[in-house]
Amino acid sequence: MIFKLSKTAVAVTAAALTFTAGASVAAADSLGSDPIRIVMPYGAGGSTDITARIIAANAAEHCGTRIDVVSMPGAGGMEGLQFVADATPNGHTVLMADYSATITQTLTEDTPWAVEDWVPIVHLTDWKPTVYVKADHDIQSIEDWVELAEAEPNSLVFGHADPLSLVHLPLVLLEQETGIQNVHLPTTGGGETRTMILGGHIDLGMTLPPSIVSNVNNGEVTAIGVFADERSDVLPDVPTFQEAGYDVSFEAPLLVYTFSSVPESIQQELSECIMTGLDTATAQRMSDQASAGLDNVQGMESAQAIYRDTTQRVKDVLEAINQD
Amino acid sequence: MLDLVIEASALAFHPYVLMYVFLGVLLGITLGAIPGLSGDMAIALLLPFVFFLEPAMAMGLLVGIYKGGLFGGSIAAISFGVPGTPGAAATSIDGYQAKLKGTPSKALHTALYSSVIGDTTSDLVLIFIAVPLAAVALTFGPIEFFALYAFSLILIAALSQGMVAKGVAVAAIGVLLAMIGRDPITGASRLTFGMPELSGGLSLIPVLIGIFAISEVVIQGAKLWRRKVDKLMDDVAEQASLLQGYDISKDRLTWAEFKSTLKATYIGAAVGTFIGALPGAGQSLAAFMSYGLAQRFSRRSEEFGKGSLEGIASAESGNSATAGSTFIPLFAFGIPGSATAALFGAAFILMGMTPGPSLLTDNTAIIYALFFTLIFANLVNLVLGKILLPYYSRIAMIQPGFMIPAVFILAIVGTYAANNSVVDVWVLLFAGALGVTLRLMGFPLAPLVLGFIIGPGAERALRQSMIMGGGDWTVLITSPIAIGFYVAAFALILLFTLALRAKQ
Repeated sequence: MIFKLSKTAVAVTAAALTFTAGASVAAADSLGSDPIRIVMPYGAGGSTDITARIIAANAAEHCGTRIDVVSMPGAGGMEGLQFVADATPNGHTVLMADYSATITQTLTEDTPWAVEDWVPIVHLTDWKPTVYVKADHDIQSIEDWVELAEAEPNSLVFGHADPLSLVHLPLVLLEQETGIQNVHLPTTGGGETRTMILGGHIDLGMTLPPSIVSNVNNGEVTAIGVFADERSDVLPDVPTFQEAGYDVSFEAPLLVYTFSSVPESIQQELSECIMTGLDTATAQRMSDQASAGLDNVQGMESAQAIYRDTTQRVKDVLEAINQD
Repeated sequence: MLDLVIEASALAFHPYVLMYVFLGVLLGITLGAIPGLSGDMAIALLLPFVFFLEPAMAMGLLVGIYKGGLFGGSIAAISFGVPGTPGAAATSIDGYQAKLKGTPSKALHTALYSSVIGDTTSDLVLIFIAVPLAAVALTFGPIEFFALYAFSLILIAALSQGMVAKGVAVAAIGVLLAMIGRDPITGASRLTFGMPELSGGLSLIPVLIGIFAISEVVIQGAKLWRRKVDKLMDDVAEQASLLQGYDISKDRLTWAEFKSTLKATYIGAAVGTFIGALPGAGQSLAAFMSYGLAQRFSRRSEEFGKGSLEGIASAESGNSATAGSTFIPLFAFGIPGSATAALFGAAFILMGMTPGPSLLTDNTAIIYALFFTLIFANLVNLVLGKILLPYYSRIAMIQPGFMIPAVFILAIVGTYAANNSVVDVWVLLFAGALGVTLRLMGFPLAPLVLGFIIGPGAERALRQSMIMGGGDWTVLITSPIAIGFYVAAFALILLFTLALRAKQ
């Protein structure tokens, strides 16, 4: 019996070693047949995870090899980035993340890489940060909010996941634009924010549309505004802040990256096979059911343009915060 | 209503669905028994396949894995002293001691029965009173959560009977260790000593396994080594007799013993169901709280920590009783209260069902089928567990010379596998060294782990409350629920002190 046990242990060790050793034997300038790993610097089960698994299930045959999703939430996601940066630059280890990991953390912390070291190759979707309140709250629109916050500064509590996250920076930007002041309450994430809103513990919260669609449709919460250029597909009745007259828009692109040391021909190849895989009927059906928004996936050009824009925007906000 | 029940049972008791439940439980028990691998991990890996299965079959598979995993965690906790899952940490306190006494089978069976009873209670609560309980869960904001954590900290003192000072001291070390990483409010790095690897804080699994398992293995290895140097030949003979001397027929859980654990099991079932329904509170807190309460209300509380079956029953039932109730916030509001609930939420989404209040009304038949599956999976868990346990008991009694390296490898591989993190392996080794030091100095280890588990939640809740109250401490007593917790904590202290005086 013990023999069997240690055999399992050996097998697991071997698997783990293969994991770390990585795909080191691939040919120099094209994708080989070793598995591709999508590293996701978040825990399993979130919306990024679902999206990564949709890619894995559909792009594999087009990329010519198996695709594994690896969740590395360690060190606030930094370990995942480090792992991709350290991997052999053959395109078999890619990163999938929003801008918090690659831009905000790189700018605010002492990281061994620069923002430009991350090369976006696929632009999967744009998340639209959305402000919402409980359905029976006094505030039911952007105007109500601004009016109340101007009348009594710092009386409204706003829940927003991690500080400087993609559901916090838009709030900072809006406060700069309007001069209103709110109490900023960091939470563990969208789930906790929603619990506090529904329980009436806080006034306002910010999240991404798919996670509150069912609560909005049920009349439990009201989404009052979207920080985007256009309204969200899943919440078509909710106005943007621009419509309300405040020029604040801060969409969060979800991107697939390689590290900059990966040859450009491989970046191109990966970008194309992932896009082809996501263009299939099965991929689109999966995306629809999961509200993953993969109906307008863009290639390297769009990905890099939006990455540059977002970097500039984050830099501006961070500078403004530091001046305060 | 009757039509609905018939339709749902046709879905739930389809032969393929039953097969998937069976497969899931088997997979779950096996994965749960390997430290670092958990049912959650298997569920995450299987998510994409859910899309291609019939919803009832997919549910059967996932529910089976989840429940099997919850019980499987206790197997490693009892056999090796390595908690297979964070929820099983409390189980390992008494479970491993029971095994050292030569009664692994009793311990494993107690764990199985209490796990199934706790789980079933929780499922029934989910099925019948999900909605009212969910309303209670929502009334828990930061102020109430801090009161709950403060109450749990009081229980720490209760946990370490006879050495309250040492217990409180190690609990403080636990809280301190939990503060390494990111400040929950400002996001700044703190206590990382300039090491970016520590900026995400210490993960739970390596700390748990290091404190409980590595330290145990090192101490046993040292004992073994000393004996070997002293008298090599005698030792070989002695080790062989340890294996041969184990007679499983003498290690049967008797009916009387089973009955003696029932009170602890019920305490665990109640505490676990309640804690499970609170978003974010977690299995390990449920297990430790049940353990603490069961010890206080036990007639033989002095046996706790020394292989008490009641201790195993309370911890395991508390841990498993979160299984059903963790879905309550998910079903009622679409809020995943735990990592498992988040994964199930993702699975619902992939199957085209949106978690939240409309889940039940839009998919009545399939959700009723899920309810049947939840209960049925418990039966499968019981039967499969019963069949597999004799083998696991034998594994548990293998010679320490083989066992120690095996546990060491399992601990390291398991830790690495849980988060794919090398830093975690270092944390494991340091936690092991800390565990050895504390053991040698006679400190209890459970309060440290509890401090580590509730530290971050307590700090966050306290600071959130302070932000909401504009820095005024009186905000902490503005909620009736919070006041209730403080009063209960005060009453418990009073009760314990009086009881202690009466004994003396």
